[in-house]
Amino acid sequence: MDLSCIISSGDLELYVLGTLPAEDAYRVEQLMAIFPEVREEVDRIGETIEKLAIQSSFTPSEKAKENIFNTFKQLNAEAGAPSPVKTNDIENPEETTSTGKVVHFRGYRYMVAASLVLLVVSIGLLVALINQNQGKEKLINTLNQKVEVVSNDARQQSGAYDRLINLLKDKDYQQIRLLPLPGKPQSTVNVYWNQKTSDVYLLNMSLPSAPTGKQYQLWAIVDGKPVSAGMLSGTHTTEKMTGFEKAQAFAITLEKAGGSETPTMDQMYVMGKT
Amino acid sequence: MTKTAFNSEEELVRQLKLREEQAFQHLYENYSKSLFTVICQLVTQQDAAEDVLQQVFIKIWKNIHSYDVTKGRLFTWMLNIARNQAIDFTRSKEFNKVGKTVPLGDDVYIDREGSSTKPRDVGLNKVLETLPEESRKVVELSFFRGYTHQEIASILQLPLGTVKTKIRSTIQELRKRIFIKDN
Repeated sequence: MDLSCIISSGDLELYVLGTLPAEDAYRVEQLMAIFPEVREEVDRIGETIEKLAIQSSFTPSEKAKENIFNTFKQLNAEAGAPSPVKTNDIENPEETTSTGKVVHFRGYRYMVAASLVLLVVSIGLLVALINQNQGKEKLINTLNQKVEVVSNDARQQSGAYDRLINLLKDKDYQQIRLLPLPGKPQSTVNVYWNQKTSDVYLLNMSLPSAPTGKQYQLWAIVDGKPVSAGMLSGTHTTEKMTGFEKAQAFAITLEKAGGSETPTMDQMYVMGKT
Repeated sequence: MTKTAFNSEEELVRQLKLREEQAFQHLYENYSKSLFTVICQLVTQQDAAEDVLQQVFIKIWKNIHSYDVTKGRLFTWMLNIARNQAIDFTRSKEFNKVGKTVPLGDDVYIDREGSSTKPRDVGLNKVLETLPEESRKVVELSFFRGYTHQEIASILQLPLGTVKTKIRSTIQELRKRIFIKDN
């Protein structure tokens, strides 16, 4: 992929200097996570600035140092030794609890409930029709078929629901929330990844439907290179995707139907780090 | 005091997050001078600048858990803290009492037309003095004073795009010169 336009834009310099607007800074962070080249460039810029400040003629006095370390001692005494639990919390401040999952369950519940309601209504209609007119066998047959379809849907739906529950229960599965990129709609997309068995499942609850001729494609970022993990077939599904032993991130782009060799960067909708 | 070697920045950060004193000693020995230099660009009085430095280190101590290694180098993170703390100080009452500092609003570059073009000694790496004047100004305003490129464009009366390009080319140039010097 051609990264030269990102690298030469001047944005990375502003990012390092801390003067890039928040939204652009977020984009740079996402790019850094995916492409080691971008990260390297950001590091090199930082290093240059560091070197520039290092050989200066300004030196703080010994007294200043003493004051600083005395303050640390005071702060340490006030806070007490940090407990290991606290450090864990600190290291993953963004990790969310199970609240996200509840929302997904609810989505499935509604769908299963809706299917069942349809089923009941259809049976009711069928019964009413049988009672009303026994001669309309044709219609009965059609309705029978419809009932079949509806109950199949419900079965599939609850199958997907069961599969999702199993994924959520399984401790070997890591849940990775893919977050929308700037300018892309808010959506709920999770990847469930079992590193032991390399299995990857995708739960897509709310990506906007792909326009005709287009399809969403899942990518795994492996050693900084995007590798296709297959095409998405629809929303509200839990799909099994191509498995990966290792991946630093997963991302979804909108591509031409059937997929592309490399992701179209400005069509990246969501991304999440593993 | 014995100097502890940290194999990687990640290891240093891990120990900083655990508030290990050795890690902070290492941090102080390696970075205090650079951060102090940044502060002194805005706060020229030694005592006041040392106070700001102390506040900066306390901020680092208190906020180290929010430093995310994936978002950039540790120094860059600290540089931004130092600069913001210094800027905050220049806006405080205390600063106005100290008095001896360079007034921020009347920037040296705006109202010294026709004066000597000899670079002001800002105590930075000598490499900086070898740069063309415009590049040097861009570096000082953006790196050490934290001006946005929009602000720099209006101070130096340059188009926005030019400022962005200039920042980039200046860093490239500095990188080249520092690299040659190091070898």
